[in-house]
Amino acid sequence: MIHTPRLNGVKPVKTRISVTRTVGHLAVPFCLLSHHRSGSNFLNELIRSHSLLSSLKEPFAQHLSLFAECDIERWEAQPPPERAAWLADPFVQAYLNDLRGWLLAAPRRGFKETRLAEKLVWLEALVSPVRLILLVRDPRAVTVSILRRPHLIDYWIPVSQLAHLPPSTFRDRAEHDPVYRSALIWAHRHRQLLLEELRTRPMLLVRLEDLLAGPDMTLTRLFSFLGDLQPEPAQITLMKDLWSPARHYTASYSLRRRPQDVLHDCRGLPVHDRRTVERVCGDVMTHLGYLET
Amino acid sequence: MTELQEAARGWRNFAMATEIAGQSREKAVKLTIDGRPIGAMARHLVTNADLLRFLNHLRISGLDIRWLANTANPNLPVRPAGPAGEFTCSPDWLDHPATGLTWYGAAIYADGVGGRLPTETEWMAAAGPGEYPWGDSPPDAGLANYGYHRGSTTPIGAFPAGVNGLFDLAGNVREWCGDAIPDAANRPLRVVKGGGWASPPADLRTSARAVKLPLMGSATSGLRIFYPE
Repeated sequence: MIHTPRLNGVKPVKTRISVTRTVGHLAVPFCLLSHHRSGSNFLNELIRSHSLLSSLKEPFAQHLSLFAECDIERWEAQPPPERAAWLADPFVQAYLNDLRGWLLAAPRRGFKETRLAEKLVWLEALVSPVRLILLVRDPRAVTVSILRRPHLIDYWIPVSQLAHLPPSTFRDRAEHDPVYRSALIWAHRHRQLLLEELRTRPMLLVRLEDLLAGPDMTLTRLFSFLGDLQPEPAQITLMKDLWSPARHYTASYSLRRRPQDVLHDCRGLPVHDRRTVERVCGDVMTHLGYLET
Repeated sequence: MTELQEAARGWRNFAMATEIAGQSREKAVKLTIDGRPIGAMARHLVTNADLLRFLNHLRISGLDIRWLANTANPNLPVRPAGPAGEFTCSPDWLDHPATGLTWYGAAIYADGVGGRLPTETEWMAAAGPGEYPWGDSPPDAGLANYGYHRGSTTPIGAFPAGVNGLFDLAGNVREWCGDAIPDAANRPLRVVKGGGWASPPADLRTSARAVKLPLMGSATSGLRIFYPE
């Protein structure tokens, strides 16, 4: 049992969507999918620390620059024709070939990624079916986290990606208002994922808030999904250490932040910005239990 | 691969002409296995200052640098961010260990300066007989940079040297080795040793071995030069 301190107003809640579908074959690679600033590094560290699992960190986004350039561009089994030259690039071919070979060479291998949500069909054509873990976080907290690092705003939520949003979007405003832009991209991505892309795929939904506030249940579900596994002492220790009074905390680096602070990040958003996020993301937030109906 | 071989030759000539070659050799630590001399290991990791010279030299040769180093990750300190696409690095990071090199980049760098990447056995000889390079006591944040205590690399030599006088063998960055380990599909993976700033404590053990895809230059992997006897 992992004891967490009393958390003001934060508790695991039931989402309004079906959260777990299983897939039988352990050789199927897993993909931990999340939007930026949602805690995926931490969850990936938990997964990597399991003796029977191997997980790479952003093998697409951090190694092939195209994925940042076309973040929310939707791909089918083949990238759009204008990307043909990219796919024919010898380095890209060699890299993807190596990556595919590694993922399929042994069971219980996978990766975490922040830029593949719109490219799942392509990913499955490249590798195989994957077992998906979708990590989500309250978009108000995501926005606070993105605004905290101004030099990376345009890397995480590039203005160029607004072209892929529905025409009804107020693009002028989004270009100049990072809160609005962050909310738009978060809502677009999660709406599409939850309502379309993931309806037919094996997947597990994990809320960062549940992982922090109710780790026992979340870890059990996670490792069961990853291949009929149980959490090991390493993962229990990592979670316990998170709440340890002796832990060395820092405000500047996400994996060393106080979990209470992470859970309460959304309180750092001014009221008018909070309303902006809730207005843009409201339907998805309600689905995920972040807003009352 | 011919392009890579040509690039390696060009870098070797440049390194020889500018006396970059052998710079770390003078202070390298001589190693033996079973009393037999095997060569010498650089006391320090290769730094971002070294990497900057390396990549900017090769950039003008016209080689596709992605075979040698990761140019896609904006968090890497050495980035092609100059006005003409040249690699730059903030002065604060020049004395940090080089990161982002692919295995090929690391191997070509090492060859050009007159050495090579160590084998796992040579690396373990450099680390000494203890469970960790400093002995048998478990890691803590004062002995090495690991477990996200610092959140990134730290300047080389900021932690106490190991029993053989080498710095940063455990933690800071994982170190590419020359060994190829075939996976189940018979693809060569490359060994990395020592654990890095993001590694759990168990990865700092001298005996711990991790393997990586050779084209995957990451923010947690660097290199150290071995000079064979």
